[in-house]
Amino acid sequence: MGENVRAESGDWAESQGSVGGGSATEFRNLVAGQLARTLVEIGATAFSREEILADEGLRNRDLVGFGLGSLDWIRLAVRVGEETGLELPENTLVDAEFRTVSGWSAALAELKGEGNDA
Amino acid sequence: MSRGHEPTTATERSERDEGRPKPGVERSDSAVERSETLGERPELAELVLEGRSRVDGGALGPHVVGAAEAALRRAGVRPGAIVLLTGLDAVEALGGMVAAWRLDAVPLVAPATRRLPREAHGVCRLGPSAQALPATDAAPVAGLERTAVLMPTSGSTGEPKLVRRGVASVLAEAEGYREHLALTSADRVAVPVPLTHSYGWGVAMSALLTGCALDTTPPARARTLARLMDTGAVSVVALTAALARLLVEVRRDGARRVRLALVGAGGVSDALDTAFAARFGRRLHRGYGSTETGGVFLGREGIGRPVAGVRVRRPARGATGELVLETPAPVEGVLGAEPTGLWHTGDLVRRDPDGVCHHLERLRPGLRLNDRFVDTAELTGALGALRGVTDVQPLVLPRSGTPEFEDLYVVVESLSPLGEDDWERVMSALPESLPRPCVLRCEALPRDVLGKLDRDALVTWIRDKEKRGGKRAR
Repeated sequence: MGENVRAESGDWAESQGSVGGGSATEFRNLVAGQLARTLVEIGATAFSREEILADEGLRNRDLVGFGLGSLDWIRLAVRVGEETGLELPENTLVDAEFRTVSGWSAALAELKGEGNDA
Repeated sequence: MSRGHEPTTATERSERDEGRPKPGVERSDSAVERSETLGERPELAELVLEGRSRVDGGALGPHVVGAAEAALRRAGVRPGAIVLLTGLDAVEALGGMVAAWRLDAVPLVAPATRRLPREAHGVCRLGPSAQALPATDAAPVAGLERTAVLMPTSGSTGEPKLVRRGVASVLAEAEGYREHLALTSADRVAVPVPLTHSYGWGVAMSALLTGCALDTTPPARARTLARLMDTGAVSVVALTAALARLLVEVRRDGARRVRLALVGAGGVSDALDTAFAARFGRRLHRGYGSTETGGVFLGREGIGRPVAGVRVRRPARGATGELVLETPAPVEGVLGAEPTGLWHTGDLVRRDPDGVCHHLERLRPGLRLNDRFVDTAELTGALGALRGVTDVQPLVLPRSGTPEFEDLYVVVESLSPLGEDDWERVMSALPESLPRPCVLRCEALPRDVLGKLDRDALVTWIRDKEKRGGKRAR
């Protein structure tokens, strides 16, 4: 996945840094929370952030499987990007296998770990 | 890379472009001479290659086009044959298209997931890395003599059909965009909408024929696209309303601004126009067209005015009615149809006294349910008139377990539940000939990056709703 990883240039990301340490757990919380918000907005089956975090099946479910159209998951990616200052790799957006809460949080943690955000 | 300039005058553009081959309906002498020796499609290929455009930083030259052409030759592609381009990135798709034209073949561009009509079965397929699968059914398809490209459409009955775009129509569309967008070879044009859609394809082709650099950053990378706009890395951008709305949510990351932002494939609300102007410093231009015609209207209000060569036959100025157009090049239409110079758009518009048209609604065709057509206009109209309802989407789905039987669904988009009285009034007023629909409510219909209904997501939502017993969720 690493070769597909891209990050924001400049120090903008750090200034936004609402996800301080950037561990996979923190990113999982963030992505699950944003997904829960989106599900409410689009009127899909509403899972709370806690429900998503507690259920491995939900964490590994393609976002399309929650009823998100492509526009919805792109908006979710934008929000996650705005929150973290990191840009999700292309494969986590277009591959159903990685377009999941787990896939996105792992990719974000990898980005943060590589120090590409500054 | 970008000039970030204001639009120039026609005279200035003319002076600047002097000496360059002029693509479009007014061809240069060299192009006219060439047309005596080349077919229309090979000539179109040469016009694109003459532009020497760069696509996503790389040249659209021998490396890309040559590799695709060699693969198609090895696959035995003959003049007039259909070549399916699917599953390709933008550079490969454009390179494959030009390669097919050089062989006088007819490219068919389609998303990988699209169900294709029978004419597209068994044709040569060009895949990633210039891998071509030879045709398995080489039966010739009639009526493609002047066709530049084929695109699938779902058609009025839900059965996929192939729409033809003629070479002359493509050149006329390119001229229309070039004129209105004031494109020059110094522009870098971002087309983040899919090139498998006629809007994105048309703008991209116009950019290539003008010699602009082309950027195809996909809509999934909305933040990257916003940064390209903020840093002046692109000068013109072709968006959809949905994508423009997403971009507004991205924080500014630079002081530059695009020269022009166009929204096609859907309407632009005043609120979006204002929000976009506040965020990006430019008001939105609007475009209108169809798979059959390409872009035919451009402007700052409504759907704009007809581009050069297009005339509005109906409605008259100051009147409302179906938009009927005379086009500068024949509309080839779906395979099997007779080309026509008079195009009935199927869209209801209001035409201002000054000629600007405003889209009112799609004149929706009936749905086919269990092998018969049903007219849902009365039902959708009644539901759409209820307080708080922002959209109504009828659709027919096979019944779970017994797919031979189909059911009619109507999904109502509304933030608040429908009132019981309203509901009873609508249902009791339905004509007896209309099968009782399953009416569901959602707060927001799923939409794709073009702002169009994401049918797969909606079906997933409906099935999920049914599993949980929400047969009539109000």
